[in-house]
Amino acid sequence: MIYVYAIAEREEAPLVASGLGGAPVERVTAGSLAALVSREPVASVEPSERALWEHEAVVEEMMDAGPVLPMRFGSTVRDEGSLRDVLRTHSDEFARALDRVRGRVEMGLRAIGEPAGTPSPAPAASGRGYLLEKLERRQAAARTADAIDPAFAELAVASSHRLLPSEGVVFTAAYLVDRSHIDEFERRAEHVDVEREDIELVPSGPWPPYNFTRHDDA
Amino acid sequence: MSELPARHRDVTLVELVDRLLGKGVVISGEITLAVADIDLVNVELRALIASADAIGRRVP
Repeated sequence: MIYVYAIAEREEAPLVASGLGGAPVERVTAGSLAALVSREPVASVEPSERALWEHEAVVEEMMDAGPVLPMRFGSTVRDEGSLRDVLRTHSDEFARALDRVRGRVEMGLRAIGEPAGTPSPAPAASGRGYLLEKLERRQAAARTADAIDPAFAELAVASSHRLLPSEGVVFTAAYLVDRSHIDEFERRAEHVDVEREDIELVPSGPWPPYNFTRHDDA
Repeated sequence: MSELPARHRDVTLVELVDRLLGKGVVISGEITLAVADIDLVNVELRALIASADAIGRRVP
């Protein structure tokens, strides 16, 4: 079985020394594309914190060399021939997606707190009350996200949002930005964090473009 | 609000899990997601979400 970290342009795919569990990393190429892989002797991969960082380290090293499309953690393919087939079959969409992320990185925002004006979640008296409360929370979260988004969207070529992704989080967002905008993105996040008293706004990144692996992602 | 480097480290781990286990290229049928023990994933996610909640509670 072959473990796949990411897809890159053949010319830009770097040599990376080690990946999951210290396994050697190899390149499998087809046409103008290359995938970075490890030959994985086990049937499945444990998503430990360490393994996640090992996957991430390979992708980040690739990202420093050129545009990259990170695979989801745990992506495996039967053999090299199957992987080459995948690269050939999807070569156009991969090429377009790589073009779009060229010179760009993904930056994250996480707004920690409760949606403005809504009480902390409490058991509602009725099913209808529960649904109304849920709707209000969602609308409040959307207002917060809409108020914060423009300052970051204007730095980005694409973005994606999730409202109320987990308890205590108003929204998370990902932005695809030129590398030259990383500092400004962080400055704006700090500014909003200081300005807003209802939430903590925590930026993260630069990340490989996990949220922007398809050329038509928002 | 105050800067807490530890807070940023915790958030970074949550962001990492979100991305690696929830995003990235997926090609159904041809590329298999061979992640061991889905329960373990859930356990880790719960732990991470709990730590995110703990971070949230530090908000004055």
